[in-house]
Amino acid sequence: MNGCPGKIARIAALAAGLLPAALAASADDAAPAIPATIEQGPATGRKTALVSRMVLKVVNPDDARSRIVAGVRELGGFPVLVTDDQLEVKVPPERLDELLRLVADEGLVLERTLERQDLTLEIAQLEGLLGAKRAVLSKLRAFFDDSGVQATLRIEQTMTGLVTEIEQVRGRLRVLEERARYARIEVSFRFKERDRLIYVHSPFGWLNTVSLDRFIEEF
Amino acid sequence: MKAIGMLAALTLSLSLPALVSCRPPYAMETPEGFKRFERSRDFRLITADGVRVKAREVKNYPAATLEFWTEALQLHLEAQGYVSKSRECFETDKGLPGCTVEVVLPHGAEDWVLSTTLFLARDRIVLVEAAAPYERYQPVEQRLRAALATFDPGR
Repeated sequence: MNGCPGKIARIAALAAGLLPAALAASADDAAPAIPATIEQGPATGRKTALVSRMVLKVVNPDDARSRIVAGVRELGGFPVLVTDDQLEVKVPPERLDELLRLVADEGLVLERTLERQDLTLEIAQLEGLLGAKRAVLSKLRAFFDDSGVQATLRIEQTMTGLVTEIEQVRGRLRVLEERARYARIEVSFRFKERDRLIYVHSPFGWLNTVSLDRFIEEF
Repeated sequence: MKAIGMLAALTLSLSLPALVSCRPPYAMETPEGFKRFERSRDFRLITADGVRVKAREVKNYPAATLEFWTEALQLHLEAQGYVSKSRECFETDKGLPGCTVEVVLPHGAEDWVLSTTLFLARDRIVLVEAAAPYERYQPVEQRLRAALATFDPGR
């Protein structure tokens, strides 16, 4: 048990990520490696999540859906959600423009949005965090050799916590990697927002008489 | 007996023009697939699956151009939440300018198209409105547009 307090203190310091040496150390090879870079996008190396949402009106949604899905597969993508009213697909980001054109050719695009979220910083931070935690884990392993029972238990407890944290970081990285690897396109064959009409009074009286409800009612 | 006959003839001669004047003055070729309500006081057409067309008129007040009213109509509909589908101006066979504004809106479980075509006729604006669920409107859209090019507001 001699020397244990000092060892535990060092473990605590390592676990808290306070030792720069630990942060700089190489990653432990026990866990599967996360790719150092996520292959995506242009040569700038930016990692971007692209999401496009469209409301597409077509005469025959079934036929349009089949053609779009076939086109998505040709572009290296795949469908993730297929319902009567909605289609959600993923394609490599560099094929997004082609897919948007393909979808637009199927009918009338009533609404279209494109969201672009830069994930580069978040991914870099998570990769850094992952590397640091793995380094700490690696250092902790080295303490096993000359530790007493109590110290070993404390080390194991700390390592278990670290492994959990590493898995959480890896999971988050995988999610971001997936978002950056594929652009997501949501195609709705009808308006999602069903109650979108608001009454706006026009100073030109007759314009207030032009409405779908009124037309149907008075026909 | 002779007096009664004369009275009947007089009544008929007075009421006939009145009856005729109740009919809408508009004329338009009936597009294929549409049926006109011949005896209706309104100018109304309908297809078997319910694509509806109706014409009516309002005062051109304050007096403005076709472009002005078309712009005002489109802006007003969009402000209410209708989504613009198309806007197209044309001339009828007789050289009368007209403009069509088409918008789309959810209605019940379906998305409907509301098409409004404007013609200016002296101090009136003649509106030819058409509406139907998108899937039913699209197949007859071109036929309807072709028929609108034959529209005559009359008077």
